[in-house]
Amino acid sequence: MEAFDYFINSIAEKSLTPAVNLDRPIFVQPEDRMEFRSARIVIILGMLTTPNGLSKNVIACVDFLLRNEAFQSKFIVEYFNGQKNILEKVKKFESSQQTEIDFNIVQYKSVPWDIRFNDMFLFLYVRQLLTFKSDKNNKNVRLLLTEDGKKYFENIKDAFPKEMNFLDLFKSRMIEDKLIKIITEVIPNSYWKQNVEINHK
Amino acid sequence: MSRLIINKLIYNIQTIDNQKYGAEVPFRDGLNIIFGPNSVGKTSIITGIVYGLGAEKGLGIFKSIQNPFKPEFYKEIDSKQVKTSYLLLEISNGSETVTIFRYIMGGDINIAAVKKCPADEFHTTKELNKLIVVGEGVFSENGFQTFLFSFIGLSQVELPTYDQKLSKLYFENILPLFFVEQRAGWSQIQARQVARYNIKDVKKVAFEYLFGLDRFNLHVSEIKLKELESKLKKAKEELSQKEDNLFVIANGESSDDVLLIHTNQIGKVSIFDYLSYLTDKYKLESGLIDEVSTLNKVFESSSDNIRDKIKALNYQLRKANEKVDKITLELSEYQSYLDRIQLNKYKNKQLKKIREFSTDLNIKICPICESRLLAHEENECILCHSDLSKKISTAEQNLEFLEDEENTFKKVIEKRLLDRRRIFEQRNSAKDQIAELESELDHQITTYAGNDFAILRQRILSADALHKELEKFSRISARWDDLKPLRATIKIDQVAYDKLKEQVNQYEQTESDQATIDTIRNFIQQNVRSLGLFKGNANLINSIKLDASDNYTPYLDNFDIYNISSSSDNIRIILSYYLALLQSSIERKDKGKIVYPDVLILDEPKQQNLDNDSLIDCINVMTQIPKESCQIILTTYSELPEDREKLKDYIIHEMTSKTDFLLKKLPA
Repeated sequence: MEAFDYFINSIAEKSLTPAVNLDRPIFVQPEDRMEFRSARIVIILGMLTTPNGLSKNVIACVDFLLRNEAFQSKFIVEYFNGQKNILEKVKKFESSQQTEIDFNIVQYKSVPWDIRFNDMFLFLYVRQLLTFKSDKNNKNVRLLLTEDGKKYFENIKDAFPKEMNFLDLFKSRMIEDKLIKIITEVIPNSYWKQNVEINHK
Repeated sequence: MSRLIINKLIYNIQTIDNQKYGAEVPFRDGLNIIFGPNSVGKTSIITGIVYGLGAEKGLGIFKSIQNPFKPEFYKEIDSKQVKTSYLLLEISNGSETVTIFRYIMGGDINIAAVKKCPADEFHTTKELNKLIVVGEGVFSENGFQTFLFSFIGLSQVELPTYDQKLSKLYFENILPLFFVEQRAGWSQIQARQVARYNIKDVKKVAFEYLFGLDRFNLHVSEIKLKELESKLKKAKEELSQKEDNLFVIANGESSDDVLLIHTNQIGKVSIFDYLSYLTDKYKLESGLIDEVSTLNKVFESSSDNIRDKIKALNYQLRKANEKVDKITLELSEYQSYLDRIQLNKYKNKQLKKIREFSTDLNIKICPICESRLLAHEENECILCHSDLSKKISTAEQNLEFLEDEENTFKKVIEKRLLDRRRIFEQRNSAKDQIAELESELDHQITTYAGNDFAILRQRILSADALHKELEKFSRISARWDDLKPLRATIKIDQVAYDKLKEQVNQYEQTESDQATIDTIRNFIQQNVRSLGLFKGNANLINSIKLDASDNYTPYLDNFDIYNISSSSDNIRIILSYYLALLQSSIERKDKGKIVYPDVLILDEPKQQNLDNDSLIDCINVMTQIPKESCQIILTTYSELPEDREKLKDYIIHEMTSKTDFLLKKLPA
């Protein structure tokens, strides 16, 4: 401390203003960046293009899968259960990384909903990349890309090769009920409940 | 000079109606014949004499309720009950005369009264001496036998009995040598000898006593000798039995009272040598065992040391493993950080790419207040005018940061890996050391503890066996030594025995004894000749022998002398014998120490198949004995008048007919 005091005092005596830049950026990783997340939603909407668009829940679920690659193979097994070339499909998504469950993710109860999704939708909407449809009662909102959005998708899709590959499996025909069931029931049952049991033991 | 002379016998019996019955028989020197037919009272006279002398045991009467007399003496006479009954017996020893009073019935039969007076003056003499005649005390101061022995001139002697005690020689023991009872008396010499005092060799002893043989004095010695012999024999048997036991146990033999043992190791040795050999060997063995045990201790301390080391190393190993686990976990965490960094790097690159196509926000009016948006400066939010440049990191910054992080983590990982490798090394070295120490321990246990201790155990076992054998032979030695007193007593007894035996052998053939015995034998031969025994066969007669071997009774080497030709031979031999005793006593009275009382009471030899001629021959012999030096009382009968004629000079009492009873009614 003495040395530090001496350093400060000696600067003050010379009437110099200390100009030490103590600012450093708040390091925010892409997963927490609106820009990045929104771009991924664009990828989702771009790949799973349906005339009527996707519901918010489906977007949340797919985003969850893209966010956590470890669940992808499990999801594929469950989703394509009973189909011929399932192994080939799974093989592609054998994660080279650790298969252990990422404990940092929120253990959701219904859908892996992130409150920031609305901000992301807004982010895309104000940039006129996204539009929505709803029924007469203003319910059952479905989201779809605008023409600008489609162009934007074409621009950025090269930056997401893994996500593209994964989403390509479903050929724009994602069965929503099945998807939601796997995400909200099968995966929690086979991972977190197990973990809860282990923790309680 | 010892003599017993019967002077007179008086019976006095009173019935309850005060009627008196009685008899009076006087005797004289020389031959006294009591003559009469059967069953009139001849034997009652003899019985009276014996009873008066307190020697009814010589008649075979041993209980006081038994009465030696015929019933008329104590129960009923002429159909009248007897109230009192007694007898008076006047006896003399040649210089003094006394009268003995004894109840037969109506008074204390255990007491005899003696007065120093003739029988006729008994009731007028006042001085009375009451003496115990039956039971214990007959040899006490007031004992009848004390009186009788001293009266006759006999000394009281004590003799060893069969039950290792001493007994007096009683009057009834010497009586059979001068009294022949009617029934059993003629069957053999001293037939009525009383054996119940347990005196050893009583017939022999009584004979030697009366004939003053030196052997008698030696008799005690001889009996002692016998005792000694049997004792010696017993002791020797005991010794040899015990020694045999020890021989069996120790596989040994005896040599000069030293136990020799046959051993497997060193052959035949004395027990002392063997014991010292065993002791030395045991010392050696136990020394060796001690030595090996010391080595064992060294081994144990070293093995303890090794065990401690192994424990310490094991602790180290465990710690190292824990560290390794910790570092491994740490590393995996670092790895997952790295993965995350990689992922984030990838995403940042994606972000960087996206930004190339940054989309302009085409907003001119604030969506909240609907006023026009003001011109904004660079790096400023068009809506809220926040500084965009510094606040949130750009993808490039992120990448830089992540790169930095990655490098740092890689370095850390490297370092930790190094650490882990070092710990691995430590662990491996600990493992190696443990293995080494364990193998060392195993080696020690299997080689040293195994073989060496197997040998040690065997050594200990053999030392134990040695010790056991040592103890066994020590015990045997102790037992052998325990026999020392026995051996010593045997030696002492043997010496005493040899000495005594020499003494006995020396005195056995004293001249005086031999002379006495020779005299008796000569008289027997002479009498036998006179009585016509063996039909005058001189050879047979001359071969009659007499010595201590058969209680001093005559015998032939080759024949049964009592039954050689006829049944009356027995009587004649016995008669010859008793007469010879009397004759010898008279002849050798001056020379020897003979205390024979020179009285002979013979109760009816004729009843036992003796013919009249032999009786006469016998009486002839008797008459040749000098009558002043002896007294012979003989009861007999002959129906032939000529026989009576021959005897008549000697008849002192005669029952003339079968109704002429001894007891006569006396005037009131």
